[in-house]
Amino acid sequence: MENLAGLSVVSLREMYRKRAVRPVEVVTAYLERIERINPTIKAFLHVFAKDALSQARALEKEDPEGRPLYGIPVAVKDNICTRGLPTTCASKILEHYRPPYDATVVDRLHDAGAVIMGKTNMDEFAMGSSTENSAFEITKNPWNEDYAPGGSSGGSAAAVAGGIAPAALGSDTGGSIRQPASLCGVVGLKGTYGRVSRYGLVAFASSLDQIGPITRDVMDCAIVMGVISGRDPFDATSIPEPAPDLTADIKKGLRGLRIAIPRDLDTWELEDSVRDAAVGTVDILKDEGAETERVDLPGMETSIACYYILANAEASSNLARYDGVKYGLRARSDSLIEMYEQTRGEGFGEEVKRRILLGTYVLSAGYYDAYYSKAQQVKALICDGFEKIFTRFDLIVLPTSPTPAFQIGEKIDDPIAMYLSDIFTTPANIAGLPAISIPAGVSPEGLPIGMQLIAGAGREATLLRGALGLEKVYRFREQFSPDIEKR
Amino acid sequence: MVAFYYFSFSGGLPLELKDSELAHLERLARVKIGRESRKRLKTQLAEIIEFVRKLQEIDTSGYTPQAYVGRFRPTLRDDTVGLCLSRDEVLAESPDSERGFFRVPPVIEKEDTTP
Repeated sequence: MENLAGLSVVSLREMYRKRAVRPVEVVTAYLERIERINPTIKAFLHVFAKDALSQARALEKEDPEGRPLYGIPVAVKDNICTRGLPTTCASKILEHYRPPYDATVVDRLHDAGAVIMGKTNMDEFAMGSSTENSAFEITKNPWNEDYAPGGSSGGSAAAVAGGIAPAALGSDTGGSIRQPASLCGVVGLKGTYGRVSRYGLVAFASSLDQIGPITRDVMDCAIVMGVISGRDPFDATSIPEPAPDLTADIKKGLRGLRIAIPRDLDTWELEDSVRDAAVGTVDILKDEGAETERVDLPGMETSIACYYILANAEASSNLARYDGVKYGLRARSDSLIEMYEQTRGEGFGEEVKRRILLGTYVLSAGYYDAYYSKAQQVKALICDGFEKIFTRFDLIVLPTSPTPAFQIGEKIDDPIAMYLSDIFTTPANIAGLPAISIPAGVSPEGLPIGMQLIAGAGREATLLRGALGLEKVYRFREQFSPDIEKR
Repeated sequence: MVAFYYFSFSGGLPLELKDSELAHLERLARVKIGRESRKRLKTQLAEIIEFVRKLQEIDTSGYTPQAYVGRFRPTLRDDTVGLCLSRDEVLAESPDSERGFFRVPPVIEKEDTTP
């Protein structure tokens, strides 16, 4: 097979439909490409070659048009449970863990005919914005190997950008799908809170976590999102109503959409190339017949602080389960309490410990009201602000990240600088809203720039329609690709 | 970054948690911090706490703390027994088990409970 790196889900589906290729052939070609490219970009932590080939063989007897992701290779972030196969969260504490069950999204991918190729690198327990907090590997940005791919789903974004997987799943607690998608020049979607089941997603902050797709373009994104969305009785927070049809109206274009532009777009401290892309996007929207208006966005100044209180409070509670008793690492000790402390001290990396301690602090006696309750009030204020905006608008447009990719090592010793790279993504998590990042152009250094759209709760179809409308004008795929695609 | 100015630290004093404060958090969180990272963590945690403390300046009168997300509320299901993992499957991942139970180091011992 040739030109494998440039293949989208849609083009692979077309090749299957025409009986031009077969699953074993496609999966073998991707496995070969992973073997060639992954040692450079280190997107995958584990490659399931044997399982992938046996799934592909089983599919050969079937009608290629019978299932929506028939024979499509998919990479899965390593915090999503795969039965009997490594699920490490890029943490030493789960290094040898093999979950006894599949996440609901993994079941749905299998049912849709997808082939799971392996598990991708991430910041440990999804805590980070550069994938440098992995206990195992440093993932490189496929556009320039000196740069970080963003995070925490950096492995999934790099796998798609590097053409070693046509599609991937990530998870997004404060921007962990959208920010790496932006920094790697691919599409990343986080749905409405509850749209995709969290069953089998290793919990970081349960009120914010959502699984979502990372793909090469918007149509692929809609297809994969359609497969993984919907009610799941195993997740009490999953939305009861059926998931909307994401492709029926996707080609309707930007005309008539009411789009809010942040009033502060001109004063935010953005890198010039990002500001240019944002200003250019506003012009595109007007040219294409969208109705635009400047508005004040709720909580842009406060969302990062609010996010780091709520997310870390929940993390400190969720990560209490890693105690050396039920599964995972256990440190040797003669007493139970010491065993807990040693196991967690040895098993968790520094960023995870920092966040557990911070979460413990904001929940501890004497501080709970001042920090945690206050953050929950700010969250109510932010939700209320967005609700008001979405009575008048269909979408909000803003950059995904204030800068293109940053260099590996650049921010790793400065947690607050790292946290601020998520400033534009956390509000959608706090308010539970669907949001997407799409590549809009490249910086003078040749690094991708992503723009973000946010929609009202439950409005993924409108979100994807807006994203496809912009994608058609940006023509990113037609103009830019990383050199690694040619390798 | 506008938010960074908004949250810029007011005083010029170096921020650092006290040893006793870090030790208290370690005990609450049951996590041991190695000697080589204590100094760095005391500074970083103090800076992050200072950063998030600015939230207290925001007027939230009229807003009650909100635990749920968006307009959707968790739904309850009927309390019926469904399929679940077998005891053997669950224990298979345990670092130590015996006769169908998790095995742990001695539990009953004298623990220091002074604050």
